Amino acid sequence: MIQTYQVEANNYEDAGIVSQRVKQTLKLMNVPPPILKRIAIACYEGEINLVIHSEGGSISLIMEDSQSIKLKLDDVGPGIADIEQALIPGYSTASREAREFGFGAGMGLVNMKACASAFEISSSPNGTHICMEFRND
Amino acid sequence: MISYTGEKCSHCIKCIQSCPTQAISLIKKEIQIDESKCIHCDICVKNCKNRYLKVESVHMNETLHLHDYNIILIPTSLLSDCKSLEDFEKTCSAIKKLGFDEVIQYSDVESTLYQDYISYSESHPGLWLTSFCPTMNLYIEKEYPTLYERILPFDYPVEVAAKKIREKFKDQNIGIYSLCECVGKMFLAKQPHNNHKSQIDYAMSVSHIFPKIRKLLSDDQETMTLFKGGLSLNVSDNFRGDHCCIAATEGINQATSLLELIEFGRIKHLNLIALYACYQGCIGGYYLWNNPFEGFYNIESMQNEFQEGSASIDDQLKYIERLVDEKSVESFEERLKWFNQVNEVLEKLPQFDCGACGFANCRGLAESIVNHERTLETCRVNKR
Repeated sequence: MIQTYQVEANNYEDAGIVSQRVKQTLKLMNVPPPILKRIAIACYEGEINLVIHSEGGSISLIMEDSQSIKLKLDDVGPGIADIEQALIPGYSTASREAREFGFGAGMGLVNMKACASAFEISSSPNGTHICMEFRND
Repeated sequence: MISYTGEKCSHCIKCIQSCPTQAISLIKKEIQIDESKCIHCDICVKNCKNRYLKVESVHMNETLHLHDYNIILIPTSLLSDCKSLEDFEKTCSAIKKLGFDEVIQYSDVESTLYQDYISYSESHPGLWLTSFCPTMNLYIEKEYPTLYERILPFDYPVEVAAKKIREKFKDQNIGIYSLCECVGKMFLAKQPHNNHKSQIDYAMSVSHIFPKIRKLLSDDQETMTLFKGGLSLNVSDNFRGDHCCIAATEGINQATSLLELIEFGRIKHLNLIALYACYQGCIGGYYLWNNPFEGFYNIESMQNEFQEGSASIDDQLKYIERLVDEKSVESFEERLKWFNQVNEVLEKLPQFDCGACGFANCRGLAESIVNHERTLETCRVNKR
């Protein structure tokens, strides 16, 4: 089963709403709390990243079997110039506006990677694509 | 459970629409409450304009004679209905005259637990949630399973008070009554709501005995000693004290916002959150006759009457193990199949969530259709 939600760029007011829906679905599916917790945090961080940095994108929740739940994040740009640098805790390119909302601490990608069992990222000026897999490990 | 006595119910479905956990549905012209979802808050009871939804109290005249010695536990929040300590002591004397051998006030237990909450949250890493509000505990257990293990490992103050009494009157035939200021607490007793794990025998609401107390009020006073921690625990504004790492929330909506943030890892600097289902804390309980705003004034003006200190309580009486109820959880695959079926049916429904079918939302009806309890015909909008 795949559920895809759109995330609007710069919409700080509704930031987090997709993560809430994803979380709600996972609860309906009786996903065990420890794994649910990790997915919720990773999804939220990803959603905030899309709101702050991208020009819009989507989050897909992919559930095929109990062994693996995946989150796919796809946006349409502008991409991450240096992925390695972006994965250093505390590194941030967030705008002043974003920081004023309390975001942009430079922990987004770091937290996502820490929560996921497997983390893949690719980026170009045309967009960033992240695939996270969550296993019961 | 919350009972329905609605022969004249107009099916306004306000209860269905207001329920925070979608526990209510209208089936064959009768309101039904799904106990597996109900969190014993008072929202449906308050929203029923004809008061057809009620929580039963035990009837003392049927139970007092069953025991050699009857004790009633008085909640601290009852003070918010009194103008002075003297007024409270007169009220307690009137309650005793209903036929009890002893009236016990448990703010000493609350003081001990209040200090325990703070020291436990300071000495154990992470964010902790208070354990004194039965409604909030149920809400977390049912809606926020990832946070269940963050509820402090302490039993309810009223249960601890009851356990202390049991210890004191070992092997004697005593009856323990709990006078309740809120709906949630009514379920912490063996009767009338069959909570067999409870140490309390009977639960009664304050408003259930209020008319009788009024008739028995006189100048007689029952001496009561009050402890400061009771004030901190029952009034949400007081819980925090000087601690900047403690917060308090009132009502389901505020709690929901905060619990969502916690699940997303957004709360970093707090180590203890007090969760109250009622506004202003326990003094906002549904069964108190004063409003919580006047109640706050009343209880605050008595703060000099409260003493420092607390009860000494054995660890085994205070601590409880929070076991997750191992429900017969379906396998992920079965659940996924069911979920996909529900989504398919949902696509055929209008998704206005009008409630005319008797379910809180279209998803509720879709689930019922998948479970073969309803058909698509149930949807009144589709029928047109």
